[in-house]
Amino acid sequence: MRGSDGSPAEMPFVPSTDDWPWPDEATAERLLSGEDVGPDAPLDLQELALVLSAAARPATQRELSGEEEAVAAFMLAVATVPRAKTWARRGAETRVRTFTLARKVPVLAAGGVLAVAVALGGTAAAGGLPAPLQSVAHTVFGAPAPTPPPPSQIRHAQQTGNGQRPVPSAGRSPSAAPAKHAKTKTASSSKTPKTAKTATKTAKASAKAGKQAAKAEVQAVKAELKATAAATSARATGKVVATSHHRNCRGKHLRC
Amino acid sequence: MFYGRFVLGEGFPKVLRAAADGDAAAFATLWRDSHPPLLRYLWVAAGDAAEDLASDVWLDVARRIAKFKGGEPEFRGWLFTLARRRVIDRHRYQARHPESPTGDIAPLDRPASDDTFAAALEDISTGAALALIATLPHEQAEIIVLRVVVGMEATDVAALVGKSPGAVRVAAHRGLRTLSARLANAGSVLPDQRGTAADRAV
Repeated sequence: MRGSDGSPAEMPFVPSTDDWPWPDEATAERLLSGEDVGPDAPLDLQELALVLSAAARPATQRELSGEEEAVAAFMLAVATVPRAKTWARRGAETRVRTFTLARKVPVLAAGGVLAVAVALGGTAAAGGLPAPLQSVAHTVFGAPAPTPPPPSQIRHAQQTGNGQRPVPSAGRSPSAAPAKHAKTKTASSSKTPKTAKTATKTAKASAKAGKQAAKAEVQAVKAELKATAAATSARATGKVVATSHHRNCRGKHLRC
Repeated sequence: MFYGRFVLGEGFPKVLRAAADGDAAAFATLWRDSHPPLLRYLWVAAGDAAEDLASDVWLDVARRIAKFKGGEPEFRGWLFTLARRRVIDRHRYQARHPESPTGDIAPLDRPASDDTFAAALEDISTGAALALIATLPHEQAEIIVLRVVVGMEATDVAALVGKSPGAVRVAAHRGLRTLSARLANAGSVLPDQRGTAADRAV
């Protein structure tokens, strides 16, 4: 059905909105921003401005009549909802929350590396590292030189000829074992006189060997003390002096 | 300047902080500032359910205000975002549960457009002007109310309704053009009567 199909009274002419000249874009922006269109504006625009300003008039009493109910509902909500956090607390929590895993990982890694370095350094300073690592620490930052193995172990290595560092025996002092053994033998020799003589002889030989071993150990300790003193003086004078135990180790194919 | 512009200004952060801490007077200040434009927006968008929806919106505000951050424009944006979601929920509910009003109630829902134009031109009250705007397509009416009554800029409205600022401007201009055409069709207000009509309408 078109406009011409009915009488003008039945279907009054309604202009198309797209063809309507008012308002243009600039004027529309002024109207939407609440600016006055001015007294010289066309009547259509003045009417439109009047309608828009009426829609944006200050609040009426009716609109503001529900304030008490709204405040009561607010108080009820505040009482039932978990207490609103203060801004200071909220800021602190936000700061803690922002310390995320992405930031924790590098910090934890750095802390771990530092802890390992401190532990290694402390052990090296106490001379407790394995000989190769202790030697490196000795060269790098002047940690105590690695302790040479006891002469008895060196002899044992020579006897076995494998050139490997000897594994420490259960009895730390090599001289103690024969003495103990001799004592036991002596105690048992009182029962049978024939074997007692042989046992006494064996015990004497063992005691002699123990004395010799102890003497050798004392000499080795003395040599080590000398070597340490020489190394200390060499560090003081800046010279590199091969200590006696280093020479000893090299000659025996042992690592110190 | 229209009513909907931000009136608390520099005092807003203090009021908001107090309201977030549970101060009733501060909340009342926020309510007095924002409720009238909220009610007008909801009236245009949802008709007679405006007051119920406004209560729901303020309940949402009361529950969540402790977590809100921002200034007065952001608060307005947040408030009308909550309101718009309520309107959308209501429209969805109505689509799922259609109501067929009886013949007695139907004429009371909204005045016919001819009556609205006549009322707007004879006595341009706020309600009549809003009724006139509400005759526009929903999107255009919503955008015009947000811009004129609430006082939002085109970019803020675009963020609220999920459109580009250009699309918002085009919709607003089309809405104003339609309003202007309908006003002209309904009959002119003579220049000497215009002031009288505005004075009477409060």
